[in-house]
Amino acid sequence: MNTKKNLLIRLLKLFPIKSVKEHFGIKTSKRDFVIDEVIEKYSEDNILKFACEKFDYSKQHIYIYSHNLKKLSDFGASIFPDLECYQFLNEPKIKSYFYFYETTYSVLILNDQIQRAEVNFKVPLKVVVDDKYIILYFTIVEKNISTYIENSNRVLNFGKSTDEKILSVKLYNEVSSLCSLNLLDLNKGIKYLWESNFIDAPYVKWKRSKSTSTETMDEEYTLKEQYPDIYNQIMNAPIKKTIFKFLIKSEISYNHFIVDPTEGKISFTTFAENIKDKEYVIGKILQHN
Amino acid sequence: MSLEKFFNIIDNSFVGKIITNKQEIIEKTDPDRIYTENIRSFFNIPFVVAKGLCELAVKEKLFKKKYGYLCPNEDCDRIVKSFDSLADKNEVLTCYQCELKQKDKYEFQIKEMNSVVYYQLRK
Repeated sequence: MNTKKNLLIRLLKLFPIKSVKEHFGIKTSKRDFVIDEVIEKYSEDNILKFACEKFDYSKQHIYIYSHNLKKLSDFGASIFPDLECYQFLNEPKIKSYFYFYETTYSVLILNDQIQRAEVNFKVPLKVVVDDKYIILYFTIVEKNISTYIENSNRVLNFGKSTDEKILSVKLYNEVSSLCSLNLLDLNKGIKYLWESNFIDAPYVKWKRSKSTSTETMDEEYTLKEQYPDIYNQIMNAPIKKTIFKFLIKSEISYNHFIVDPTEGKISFTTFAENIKDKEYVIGKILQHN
Repeated sequence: MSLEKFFNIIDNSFVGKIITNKQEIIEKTDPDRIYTENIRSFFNIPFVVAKGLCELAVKEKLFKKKYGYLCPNEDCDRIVKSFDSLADKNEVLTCYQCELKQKDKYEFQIKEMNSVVYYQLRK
């Protein structure tokens, strides 16, 4: 269930199969066969290197913090003391840390018999620090764990041992002696992109003075195009978890992303086709924030 | 084709006599999404009468009847896709919003989905 091989298979499943095939030069088309071939032919080191290099193809939750650190050099070669840093890039204006953390899901596997099990994952995590921000890039492990477990029809998931919250608290504790850390409010940057018609929203949640409103658009409709009056109201209010659609498709391969601007959180819940897309979107938001 | 034609049908019926504020209704209606309840509340008439009027407008080729299929996820409930007639019960629709929100289920057979009827003004 949790052999080294199992963990590597699950790690490869966190990436689009196209990126696995291209990286390892596999010709087979079916996902399971591709992964089997990679596991047979390549070492653990090769696979971890792939996950590090092609990290930005994965589905991710991204948290952006602002900090008041005076000197970037105050940050050492690792941010999480109990995690081994797989790769540390130390550039003059930016530091980048890459980790694999292990997490255990407690599950019930429902096949012919009900079986209680623990399913381990090796999950990639990237942390980028520059003179203004600390950005955490968490790989998304699907809630539907059955996609990662061999020969299982249905799996009930009861939670995991290490999650984004635990690691975020660790980060807070670790840097608290160096600087203060605050989740960055992204409302300004998001509203600029919305106003510029770079994005529009098929689903919006926002705060009214005494309530929280949501607008869930039917079919492929988007809010600003259909309801300009509501859009104008939202432009003066804090935006909560919202789905945005990219309107200028020539610049980006993603169709949508999710952002909670008030919580400094951006999610890409589908695989990227272009490895640079996430950085491009985050850069655009921060540029106008 | 305008909503005025539809209102002429109503004008010619017994309901027409109680209709007022037509211009306001024309201005406030989304010609792509007219629900029976919109017509009922505009004219303050019984639901069955409003439904009958909408069906009459379809026969007169003023309205186009549409069937919208709703996402069964409780906190979604949006129209995933619309058809000109009842859809094949085995067809599978994907709610892309629920997929993006990483809901446990986001693909549904038509037979699992509730539908809603609405009308469009023919252009």
